[in-house]
Amino acid sequence: MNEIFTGPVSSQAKLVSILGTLGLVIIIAWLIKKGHLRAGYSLLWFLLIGAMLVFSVSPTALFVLSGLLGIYYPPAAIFAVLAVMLILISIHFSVVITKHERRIKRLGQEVALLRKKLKGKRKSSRVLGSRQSH
Amino acid sequence: MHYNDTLIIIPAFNEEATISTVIKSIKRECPRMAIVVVNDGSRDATSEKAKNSNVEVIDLPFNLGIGGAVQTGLRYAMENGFKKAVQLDADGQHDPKQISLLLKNLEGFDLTIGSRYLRKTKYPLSPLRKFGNNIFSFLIKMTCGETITDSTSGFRGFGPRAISFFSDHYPADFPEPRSIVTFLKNRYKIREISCEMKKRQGGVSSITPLKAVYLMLSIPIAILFESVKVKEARYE
Repeated sequence: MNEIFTGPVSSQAKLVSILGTLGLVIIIAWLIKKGHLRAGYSLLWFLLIGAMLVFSVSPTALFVLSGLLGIYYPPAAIFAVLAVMLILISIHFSVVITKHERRIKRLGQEVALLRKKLKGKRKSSRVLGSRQSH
Repeated sequence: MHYNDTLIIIPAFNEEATISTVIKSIKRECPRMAIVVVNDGSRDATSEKAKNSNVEVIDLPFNLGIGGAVQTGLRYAMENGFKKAVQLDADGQHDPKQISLLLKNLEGFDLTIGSRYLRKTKYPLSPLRKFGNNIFSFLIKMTCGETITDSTSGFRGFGPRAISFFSDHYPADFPEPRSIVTFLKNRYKIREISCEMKKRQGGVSSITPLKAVYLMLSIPIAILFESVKVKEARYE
């Protein structure tokens, strides 16, 4: 039974997964170039893509990994690694969003307070101006 | 009353139905106190009505929620040298007559809270609300060792130390109970005063049944996390 899974991956599947991964690289590189993705975040995605590439090129890596993790069905190891990485990336994004919310809140407050102060200044300078004109 | 150093902060989100009446009654009770309405991105005429009532109005560029609005008011108090502040709802459920109670009791304390539950008041209380409130009280007692009977009350008096602390550290989500926990954890003193409150006089409550369930689950978690947070923690 196990032989089915330890045997070489069909060249067709290999080709598809390599092409898919390369496609992702191109998308991310394009996003960075266009300025839609900060280079800092791209590291995460390149790590993820790198892992996918390793597994799609060499099934041996997959078998070693599943052996280490004690997973009997090697393809499941891919999903496990992918799930963990996606969860980590999501947590990372929640942290980033929280930070941005805090900053936006502060900015909103500052803008409102400054606008208030500015209005007060204008009002008092108008009073001063009318006094001077008399 | 002579409180030139006191600012009354009214956070308001879509409260055009009640804001004018509330301001009028505050002016009647405390004629010499400064009043600022923090308009939290209302989509109705709240801001115009407040301006027509001749009070200071701070218009937030977008809705920040009650926590962000109150904090804006406290920062305004800080920047303009006010020593004390009172937070009061724009929907008319807090009685301006009791503002002096909150301020008087600041003697020796940093924060005073108008409580509906300290003594029996006429405030209509649903069983669910009572249950939730008891849980919050129990958790605050457990984590901070202090009894706060009405941790969700938005009728509060701030002393100088509270103004300075909260203008920097005011939680955005579930601000009322969390601000109590973080305040107590930083060794400030809170005093509750029994206050009579009315049901809101107009507008719509922000709490729907679904939201009530969400709050009942989230606030206890928030209280627990707040109590283990390090001093000077950052706020979202």
